[in-house]
Amino acid sequence: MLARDLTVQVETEHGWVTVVDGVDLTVRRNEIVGLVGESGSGKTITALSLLRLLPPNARVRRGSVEVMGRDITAMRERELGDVRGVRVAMIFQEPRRCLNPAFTVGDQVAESVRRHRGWSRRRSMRRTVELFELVEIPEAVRRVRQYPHEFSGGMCQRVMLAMALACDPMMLIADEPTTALDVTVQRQVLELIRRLQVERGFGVLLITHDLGVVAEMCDRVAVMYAGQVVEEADADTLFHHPGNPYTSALLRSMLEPVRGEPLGFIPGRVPPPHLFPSTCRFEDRCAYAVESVCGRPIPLRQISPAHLIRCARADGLDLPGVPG
Amino acid sequence: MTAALSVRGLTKVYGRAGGPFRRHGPALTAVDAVDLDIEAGRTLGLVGESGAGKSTLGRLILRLIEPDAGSISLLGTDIAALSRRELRRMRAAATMIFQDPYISLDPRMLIKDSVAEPLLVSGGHTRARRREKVSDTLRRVGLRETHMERFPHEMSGGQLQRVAIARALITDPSFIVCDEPVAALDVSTRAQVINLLNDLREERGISYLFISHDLRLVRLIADEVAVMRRGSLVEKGEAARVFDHPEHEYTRELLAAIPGRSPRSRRFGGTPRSPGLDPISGVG
Repeated sequence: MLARDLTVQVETEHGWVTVVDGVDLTVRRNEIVGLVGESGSGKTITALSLLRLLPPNARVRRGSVEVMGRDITAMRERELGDVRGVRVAMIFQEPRRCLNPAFTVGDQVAESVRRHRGWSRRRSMRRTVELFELVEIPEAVRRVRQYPHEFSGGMCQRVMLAMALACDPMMLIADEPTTALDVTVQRQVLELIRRLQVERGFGVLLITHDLGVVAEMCDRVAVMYAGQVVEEADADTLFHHPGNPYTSALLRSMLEPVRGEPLGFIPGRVPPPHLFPSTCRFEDRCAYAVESVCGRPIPLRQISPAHLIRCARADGLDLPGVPG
Repeated sequence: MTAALSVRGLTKVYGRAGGPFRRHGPALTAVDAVDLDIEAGRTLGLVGESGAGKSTLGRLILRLIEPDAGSISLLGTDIAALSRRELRRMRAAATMIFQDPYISLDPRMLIKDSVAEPLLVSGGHTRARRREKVSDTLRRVGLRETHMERFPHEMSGGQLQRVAIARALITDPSFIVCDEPVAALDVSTRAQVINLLNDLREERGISYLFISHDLRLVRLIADEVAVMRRGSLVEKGEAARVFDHPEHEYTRELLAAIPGRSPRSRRFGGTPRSPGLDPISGVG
């Protein structure tokens, strides 16, 4: 999956406001790419636009999204049906909200199999039981007949995964898949995603605000701030040698805190989209900002083959990351 | 050292037979014979997964809900014996910060009125004195005078949680129950609130019961840790000891589940794979 110059606008009281601005993103098979950012950074809107699932008050202004070589921004709704769920599947933060409480979980997964593959009810249900076993839901035969309220949050997310995998997608978009779960359950679900990804070789775009999750899961990471990608690198580089002050500050604000030392934090807050400045968007919160250099639009620059940084001072800074 | 809090055999059972909302299933013991002590000026981190009974315990301690058994001595007073009036006074000395400031603050009240409300309830302040205290307290939590005249919807989550802290602080309490105080906030904002709580403790010697499911945060703020599971405390002790040498199996499990220390080195199973195979877009 390839997104090029993806630019999304949302209609607000301030008119059409650009909330995602020129995002390039590549997810290959066999890799897990993390998309990290605070709320308001545009990561969820980016994910939704990858599948053209944007709400009616949002539109893709510029750019393209290619899935296996086909541009989905130009597709008709019918053709999209071949992409969504078949080539690319998506799971969300609150699995229970995605399930209909009035139908058994098995029916809901089987429906997805039936719709996309055109199989009979019986065959779809058999496949559903297999899928439940694949995502490690115990007693699959019995549990397909249960309703969502009989499932815990972690189990609901497994059901969503089963549904996502129903058509052997090439790619899985996971939007904060474990944010609503307890730590021990989060660990199980992450391990499951990891195992399935390795076994089946699909690509994963993992959207999260938790850098701990990213550290464990991802091969590459893109960091978003105020609608732009501000840094992209392989996970090792990003964690140990961040090149953008925002990435560095984010790392210090959460990983391995040391008691007695104040936790690093970023003063101020992400500006609302209608106030995104045309200069460096992080400038007024940045400890390294120099007005003469930062007071203009900053492009995303490639400083090494796999490391992109959006910072005017990237060359002159040695920023703290996670000790190696 | 004097005890800020001393709890013995505290129990709360929900759905016991005979009540108006009698359940057909068995009764649920949300908090089961819990013993807990917090010394003055110290912070106890209460950790556990959702449903463990952490919030119920926090509310029992301030008698926001009534216990079924056990005793609670808060700041040297047996709170079970207090009359309504005495309890109201006690709640000036022992306050609470809730998880979600969007819910815990009244959307129709100006920030200054929300913050002043506890002073009105405990009584004994002139209007001018109240106003002065509100503005002092707001300044202390890092908000400006101009914020006083705003409504909650005009402020960010981090600012609102500061308002909630100001509200808990305005009566000069010596004990605060913080129930997941930063769970609703973004990471960068989260750190500011934690640092503020830490500073306040040093400045005023406040004791905290800090309830959180996030062990990383608890490690940062707590002197002691209690691990709760299904209503009971399975382990408690000095924070450093519990984190570095957990004794109970469940504590070990919780610690092992904390995501990510450094990339790759702690990846689940398997060896790191070389990134960059065929782009999906190029493969059939």
